[in-house]
Amino acid sequence: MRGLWARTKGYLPYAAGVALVLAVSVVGQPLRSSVHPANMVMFYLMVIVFIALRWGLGPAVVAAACSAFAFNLFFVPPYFVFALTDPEYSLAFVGLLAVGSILSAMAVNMRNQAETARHREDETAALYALSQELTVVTELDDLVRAASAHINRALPGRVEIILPGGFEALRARPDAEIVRWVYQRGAAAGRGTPHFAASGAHYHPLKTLHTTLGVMVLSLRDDAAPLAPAQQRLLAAYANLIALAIERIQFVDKAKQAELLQEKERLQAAILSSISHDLRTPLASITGVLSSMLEHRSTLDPASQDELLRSAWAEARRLNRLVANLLDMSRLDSGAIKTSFDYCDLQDLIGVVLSNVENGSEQRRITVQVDDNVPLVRLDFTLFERVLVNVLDNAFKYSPPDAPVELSVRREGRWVRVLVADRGPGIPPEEREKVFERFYRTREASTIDGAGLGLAICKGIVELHGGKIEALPRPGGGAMIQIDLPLDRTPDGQR
Amino acid sequence: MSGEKARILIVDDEEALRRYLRTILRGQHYAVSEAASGAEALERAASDNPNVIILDLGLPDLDGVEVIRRLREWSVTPIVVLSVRDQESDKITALDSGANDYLTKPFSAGELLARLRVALRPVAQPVVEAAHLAVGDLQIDFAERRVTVAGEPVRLTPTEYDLLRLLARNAGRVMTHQRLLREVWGEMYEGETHLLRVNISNLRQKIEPDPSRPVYIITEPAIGYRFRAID
Repeated sequence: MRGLWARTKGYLPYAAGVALVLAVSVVGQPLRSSVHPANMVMFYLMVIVFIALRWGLGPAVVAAACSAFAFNLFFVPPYFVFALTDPEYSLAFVGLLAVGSILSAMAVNMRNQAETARHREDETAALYALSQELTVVTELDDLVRAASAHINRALPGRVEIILPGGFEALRARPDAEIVRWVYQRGAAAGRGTPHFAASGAHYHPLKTLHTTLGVMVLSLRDDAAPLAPAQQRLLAAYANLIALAIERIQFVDKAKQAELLQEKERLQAAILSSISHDLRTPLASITGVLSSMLEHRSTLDPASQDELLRSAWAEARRLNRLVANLLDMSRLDSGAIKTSFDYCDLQDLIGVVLSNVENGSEQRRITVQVDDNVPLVRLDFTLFERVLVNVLDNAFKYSPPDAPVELSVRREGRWVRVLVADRGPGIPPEEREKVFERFYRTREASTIDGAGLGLAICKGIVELHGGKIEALPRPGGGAMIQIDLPLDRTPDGQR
Repeated sequence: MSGEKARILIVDDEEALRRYLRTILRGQHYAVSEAASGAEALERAASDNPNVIILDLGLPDLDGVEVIRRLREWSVTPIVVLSVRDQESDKITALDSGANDYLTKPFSAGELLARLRVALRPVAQPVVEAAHLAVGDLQIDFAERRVTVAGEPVRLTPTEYDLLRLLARNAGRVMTHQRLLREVWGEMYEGETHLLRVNISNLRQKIEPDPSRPVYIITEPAIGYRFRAID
């Protein structure tokens, strides 16, 4: 049944054309008495033009021939007999046949033009849509993805876009040679071209004015017909668009990199100037003390000598801490920090930290409160020592010398909370996160020595421990640094 | 060592540091010899027969730990290692390889001299041999196994007492975690540092005036503990 239908389907327009001609003939019968037969020719021509527009040239020509005969049969006396007796009507017969055919051809031409125009419009719309998609894309990967998806919808096959960065991965491809050839020559290859025509795929260079940026490969589905000329044109247009978009993204990337480089250089200059300032300040006072001891010792009483030497000693320790921080920072940065986690007693750790920070020349009061229920915490002892030394150092620096600094440790469920609270000016809300950025100094801090490294290091180390560090306001004035460490891996051994 | 000057070999490639050490040590009437490399150190150790060797771990030719190993093949001379921060694992390796103590740069003259005084004690013997030890408010009667703080008796568990005795007998010497665990708990417990942490913590609660600022049992970060040196 189906085969029969397929075979007959092609003849349907012809049948329909003939049927329409018959219909006009039958409908025209009642008019025969009132309308001059020559005018009936108009109706037939109308039908022929309609058929030509609708079904094309073949059915129209057949319909024109039928019309000529039908006109003769139905409207030229003697009726229902085919006879070219009257020369006038013979002329009408020939005219109908000829004009019908010519009109048919013209109508078909028109129809084709309209169709081509519609195709063009579709193409333009497709290209426009792609270009719209590509203008918002800023990453090469996204561009490749968007373009492939788009073309895959428009053409019967799978599209790949290969950029020089991906050429390394080409080895695995059987057509690596073709891709390279297309990239180097900047010419299309594959199916329908003189080069590598045996390949089943189409290879298009992605070219801009100056260079070839990559290769677009369209692998047609096995059952797909070869690309029509219009589709090939479309493919080439796509290639153009994609090449332009790639070029644009590469320009943007280059600009971004240049900007980044500039930013990096600016930051490095800032770091260097900050560090050299911080190194030079203690060095200046140490040099001063040593030179006065060398040159003016006889004029200095023992108490002054003692005081001078103590201040040099404190400055030397400060220098040592700064160098330690710089080292820690670079090790945190490069990921070269080696951690050795072990169960540690925080009070033990605090003892070490206090012996470190209380040894300086200026005696500061630190009150320590460690709750009895704080268990051992798994941490890297020496790294965490650095955290507390830095936090306490900050508390000392930013609070008046006579105000005590409070250090407390307590358990909060599955966390251990270490709190360092001072009575300094506190940290403004908008700066509470920034203080953990490296080289960030609060506006308050800019008058006080420091590189802005301490808290950044603390953050890095605390995060290595799976913990959190925050700056909070202290009720009643001052700042609090709160460190939470997870207890997940703590053994049952209690303090 | 009484009467006779102790001989000290300084091994460091930094001329400035050698000069500093030389000045301090001569001021304390030690006889000083110097080496600037590992190879020279090995020669000097054989020819000068020092009583103590101060050895920098970062030498240009030989790894400091390698120098210790080669020295220990024939010598029991105490070795005090000089290192910088961040070399915790190197310090432990050095101690395991036979170094007796260490100092982290930068260090004060006081620290150095205290280490040397302890290092000059015969290695095999405890620093404190007396039956009785009194330091600050703390008194330990080894014969009676009695501990008092400011005259008040302190009740210690047997483990806590063993730990305190081991530390106190070696006053001034660094005792690594492994060594303390091995000698108090036994070979099987060398990795169980949390046992040590808990017992040290309890011990400090009982004998230290302020457990957050210990004066008797000093923590050596990542290495071990040290009982306060007795002058």
